[in-house]
Amino acid sequence: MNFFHHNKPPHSGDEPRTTATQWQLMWWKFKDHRLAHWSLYALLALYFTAAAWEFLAPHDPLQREARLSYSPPQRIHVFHQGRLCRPFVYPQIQHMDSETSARTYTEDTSTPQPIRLFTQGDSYQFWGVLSMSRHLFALAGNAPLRLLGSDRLGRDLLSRVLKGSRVSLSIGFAGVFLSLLLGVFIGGISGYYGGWIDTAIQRFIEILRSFPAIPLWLALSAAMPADWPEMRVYFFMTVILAIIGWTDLARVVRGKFLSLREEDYVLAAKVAGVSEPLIIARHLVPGFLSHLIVTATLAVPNMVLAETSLSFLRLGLRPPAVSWGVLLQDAQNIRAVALYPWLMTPVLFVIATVLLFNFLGDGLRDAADPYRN
Amino acid sequence: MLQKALIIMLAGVAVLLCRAATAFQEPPSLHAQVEAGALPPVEQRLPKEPAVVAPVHEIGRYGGDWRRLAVGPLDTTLDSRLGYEPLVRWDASGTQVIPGVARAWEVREEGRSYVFHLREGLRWSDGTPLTSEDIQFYYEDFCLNKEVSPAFPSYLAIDGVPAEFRAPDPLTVEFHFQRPNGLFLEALAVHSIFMWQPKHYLRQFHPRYTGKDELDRRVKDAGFEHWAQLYLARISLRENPDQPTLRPFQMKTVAPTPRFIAERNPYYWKVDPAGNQLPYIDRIVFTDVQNAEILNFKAMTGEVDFQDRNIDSANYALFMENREKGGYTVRRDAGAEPIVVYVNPCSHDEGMRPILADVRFRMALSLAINRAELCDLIFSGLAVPARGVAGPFDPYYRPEFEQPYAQYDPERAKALLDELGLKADAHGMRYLPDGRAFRQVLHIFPSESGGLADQWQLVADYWREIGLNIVAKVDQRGLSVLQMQNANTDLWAYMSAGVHWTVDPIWYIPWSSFSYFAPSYGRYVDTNGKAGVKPPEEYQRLTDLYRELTAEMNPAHKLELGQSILRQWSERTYTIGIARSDVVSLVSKRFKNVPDKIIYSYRLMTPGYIGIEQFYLDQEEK
Repeated sequence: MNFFHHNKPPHSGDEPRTTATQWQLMWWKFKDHRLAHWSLYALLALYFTAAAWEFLAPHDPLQREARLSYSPPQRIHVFHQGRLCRPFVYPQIQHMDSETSARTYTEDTSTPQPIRLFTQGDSYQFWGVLSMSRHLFALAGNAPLRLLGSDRLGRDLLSRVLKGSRVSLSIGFAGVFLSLLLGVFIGGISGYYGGWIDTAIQRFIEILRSFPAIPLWLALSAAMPADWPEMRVYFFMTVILAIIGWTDLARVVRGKFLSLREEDYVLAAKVAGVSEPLIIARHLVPGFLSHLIVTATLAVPNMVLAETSLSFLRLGLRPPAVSWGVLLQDAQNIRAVALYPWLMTPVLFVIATVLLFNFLGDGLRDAADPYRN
Repeated sequence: MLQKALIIMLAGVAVLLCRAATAFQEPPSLHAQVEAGALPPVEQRLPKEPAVVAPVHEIGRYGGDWRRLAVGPLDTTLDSRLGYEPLVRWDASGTQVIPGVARAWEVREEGRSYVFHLREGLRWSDGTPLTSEDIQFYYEDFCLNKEVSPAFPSYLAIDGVPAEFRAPDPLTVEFHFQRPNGLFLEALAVHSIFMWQPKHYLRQFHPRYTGKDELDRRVKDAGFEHWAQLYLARISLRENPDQPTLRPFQMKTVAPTPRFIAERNPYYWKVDPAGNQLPYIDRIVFTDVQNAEILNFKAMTGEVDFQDRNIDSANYALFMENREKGGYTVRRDAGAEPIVVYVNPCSHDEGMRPILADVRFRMALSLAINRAELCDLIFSGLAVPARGVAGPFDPYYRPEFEQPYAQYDPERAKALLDELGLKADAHGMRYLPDGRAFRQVLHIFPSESGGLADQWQLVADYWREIGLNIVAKVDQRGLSVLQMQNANTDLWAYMSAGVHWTVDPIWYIPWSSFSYFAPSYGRYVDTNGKAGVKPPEEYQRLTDLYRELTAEMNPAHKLELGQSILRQWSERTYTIGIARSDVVSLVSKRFKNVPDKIIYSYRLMTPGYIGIEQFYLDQEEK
């Protein structure tokens, strides 16, 4: 535990600890957890990428380039003919072996192509509204840049991974948000009123939880008509993921409600004639909010993984929609392992996301109870 | 070369010798059984006039296991591709009909009667002679029995009326039709592989020959409810090793088992020119693997002797890279069957129907596909563009049928769609005249060997580029066919027939609800107008031409009729042809007598038409 922590006290300067709010205390404690702290920044960066992929990606993720089918990742060079230059790449030349029909690529070292920042490239609609064609980085004249290699149709894998991150990362949040709404609402009712309502809801949750999750997801997603537009499939996917996800949260909320409603201050509020919704909102929810945030954070990576697996099994999102799971469909065969290992790079992003969320959740859990040592 | 010539000369001499002395040799693996008296000597096992099979390259040597890989027992195909023994068969070129189980035939009454002469002394694998009674049993007690065969096999009928069957003596069978049948021999060469049901063995499972109590007890013991279920299980070569067969190999194991083992039929009725009883190979051993991906991996490491089934042509480069290590050569042969997209002309969607039924829509779909790029990207050059109007191996095909609407011309495709009233919105995506967005699902039928799914995403992309929102989706096989037959779905991706399509009219003629390009019209034809949709004149013409073709005995007229059907296909683009993909197969260094060129088709039962009995293993190699 201490491995991740500073040894110096969490507060600094002469700010008295006694006057700090609970949130401040939590923040100090959280900052203490170095790994969680950095994970937060890394995740923010990832989500920023997902939000602005159109600008960050060097190419249109759907643009085919037949002469770059399965081209390997390009190396970025800084020395051309022994001289230091700004970062550049050499164009890739395809060679087709007429006997084995294997494609190989060599670098044309005579013509370096410098990587330019804020340059014109494929045009795109930023967030579906703003027509733009400027990219963070690209090659002059929109020459193909393949920093993570190409897929079978010669599309830029980096751009596709970046585009996929929007779906893969946001679907986790959307799913958890939906679970949170359902969980707090249903769990709150169950815990606050108790009695037969509580019994009914708890048995219902037990029934729902006794379904094996993967087959249930498979059945639900197989029921999605193929001609649904992308957005509807996306929305339905979050619903599918949340269908089981909310039960966990509902149980947590119920437990907290059960213990908190017996507290003296709640009784006092009741005696003072405060309305029930106000009691819940003002006195009960703040009591377990921190706990809720932790649970939710730890639920996000499960959702990300679930989306990836469903899409990987061709039961979630379908091409031309792009998510990490969809990209990994291409890596389902021995060819990918033996000849085109770069097709598996989306896995690294999935792993990184899941780990970062787990670290973050870990830190938040410690911070959520700042008075415990 | 000199060696080859010498072998051929020796073979020739051997033929003369064996003709003179009729001395037959048998595989060494059977010697022990013959000596022990369990098997009669080879002369008594072979028919009086055994079929003589000329080996592809040379007289082979006996023995060995032909190693193959299978994803489940269905992959063994011992009753079809690896057991192609029809009444009359395709020759080694896949074009002419030559004797098979029947040693000769006569066509009488201008094609109304066909008389086949069986080989005297040809025996089932248990030693019982095959007689016309067996075929009569198949015809009367199987084909005509509605309980066990709900639909009468169409190759033995004309205009829906079953042929009249006669067996005047134990070695002669006759089929009489109510009108001339000009395609009967070709149809037999494909479909009569399922004709072989040994009466002496199967009578114990048939109510006509076995008492009710006895049969009921057998049905119950086997865990079935109805005698037909038991019967169908007993005639399956896969599930029942006890059933005698005429084929070169007989399955000896029952699934589940890690290896399916098929052993030689000791009564197999073919010899090579030197008088050696065939097959040369002792056993076919199929290792059962979990899925096609593992199968490809094992094949890559050299665990097969000769296999094309489930070999993914996309792995060609990988196989080439490993061919030295694995000790095999990698072959690429022409697949006859074109990959095509079918468009439903009778959509249940009122707004969609006139669009889908319009020839301009199909032309636009065809013009939008960059077939050269597709063949390069998806098939790594192991395919040729094809329009899906039969193919170069078909007798009725002409090269000019490939031309119309095959070139890549998206601008012309867009113009055609504009003309059709499919206007484009600001993003270039099109909507129907009734204001709805154009949206369709391309239902991909998993093919016999799988591995087809990938290319359709690219095809859907091409169509998106001309403004058509079409999503590709891989379907479940059973369900998708049912949906197609009922015209519930509108776009289907599957194969078509590339050679000898005339024996299976469904592919190019509205014939039944299995006519993928027009299931509703097909149903109408099939039910004589009781169900389905009445075909317009254009489609009716195809049916009429085909009816005429089936009755035509003159080869020149036959050719003309077949060509006019395909010409109409070429002009009216009923399907959107994509490509004909090569078939990749692996052949181990020790596996011999594989011809230099092979045509892959279900209608040729490849590799059946080559003669799998003459393959042999050179045990010294490796």
